Amino acid sequence: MADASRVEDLRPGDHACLTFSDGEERLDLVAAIVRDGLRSGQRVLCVTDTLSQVALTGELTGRGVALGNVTDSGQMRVLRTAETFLADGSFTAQRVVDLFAAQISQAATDGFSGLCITSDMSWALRPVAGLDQLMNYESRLTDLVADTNATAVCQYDRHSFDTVTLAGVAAHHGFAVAAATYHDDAFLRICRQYQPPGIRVSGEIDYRRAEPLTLALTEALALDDHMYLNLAALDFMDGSIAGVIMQAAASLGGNQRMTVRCQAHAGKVFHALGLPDLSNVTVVVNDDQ
Amino acid sequence: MMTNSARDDHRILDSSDANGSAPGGSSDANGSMGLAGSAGGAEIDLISEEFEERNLHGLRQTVTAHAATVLTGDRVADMALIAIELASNAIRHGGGRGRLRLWTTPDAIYCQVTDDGPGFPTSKYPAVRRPEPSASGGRGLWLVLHFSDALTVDNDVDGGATVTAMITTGDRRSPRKS
Repeated sequence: MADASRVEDLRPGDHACLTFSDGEERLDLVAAIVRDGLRSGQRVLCVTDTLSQVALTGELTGRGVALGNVTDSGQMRVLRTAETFLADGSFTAQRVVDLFAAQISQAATDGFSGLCITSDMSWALRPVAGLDQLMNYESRLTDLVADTNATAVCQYDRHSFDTVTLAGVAAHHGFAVAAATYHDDAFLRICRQYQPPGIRVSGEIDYRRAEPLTLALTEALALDDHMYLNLAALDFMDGSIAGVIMQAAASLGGNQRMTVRCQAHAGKVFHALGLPDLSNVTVVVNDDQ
Repeated sequence: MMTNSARDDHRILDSSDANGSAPGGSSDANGSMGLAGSAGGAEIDLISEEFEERNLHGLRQTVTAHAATVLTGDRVADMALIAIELASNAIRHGGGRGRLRLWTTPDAIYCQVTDDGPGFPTSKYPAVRRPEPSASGGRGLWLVLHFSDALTVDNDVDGGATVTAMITTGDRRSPRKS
């Protein structure tokens, strides 16, 4: 899984293993997968485990994925683990593969260009009967979607699953998908955010990590007309880092915009430095602390 | 306020300078006595420790914990930022290490960082003017000046610098509103 692909590289026929570090990152990647699936005319089927159907829909909508019409039209479907992987209280690889095979046919019958299935695999962290069939399931899912217009993306928490399971699971997927990461250690994670597009920084950061942040911002500014800098999970930044962000904001092109979401004290620092006064920049302070 | 004699590298600033608004003139009476920390009073030492770069994380945690006993709301994070900026400055420009002291008086909390570096060149004094958005540096010390209620910078005759920032705590017997 060293050379993880990006979400936008997913194609019909792919069976991908998506790994994530926390709930925010998972939902960001799922939002991008749902967005791309809907745009390409596929039906999107989300299997949710940790969140209720309503909560998942709310999280996706909050990330800018419009779901109202596509839910009414049947292009977007959200199913629970209890209706899929654990339909009769235990897991059977054959039953789930049969279920998804039927969904692939149904999507074609209903006039969609294909089916995009993305599943929260957190249920496999619980002591579920039939869990020994997990590798068998993943292997058969690869065969099922190959040469079809379907895409399957299975979501695994890289910190919750043990390394043996993760390695086994990864081996049964065509390829791996993960957020492009610029820095990752015990204190700080800097990664690409896919929906809305931009950069996400979590933990704490000071002058020693100005370089990976500068690289991340530079790449995002080259890609995004409206760049979102998500600092909601950033607990501390020093003046040098605030400076890196100020300089990025000052370099925005005429048609570019930047939205910064941050905690209260970072908001105070940005305000003092004049970030909200720049044209094309919006600073949003999260108050949920 | 920034026009002390060049020979005596000792400046007192109050926060009105940082905001570029009210003309100063009263800070010395309030500032130098307290900041010098020499005038009797009930000083309580909270922290006195050497630091280098690898201690920055722990230093911030320690300062935050102590500041939270006398400050409330976002002033705790202000003091933590001040401490980290002063410590980082000593690490990056003052010889790679320093000593941080944190203490309280009945109506204020002080953070002082001393290093053995070359001392503050005049050009490195905290800028009274806010750095432009495109400026490459200078924000750390400007934020220290902006978030503290008073600030002094002293260059030792033998080299090294001592920077002391103060935040008032008011009368701690009645809860502070903010």
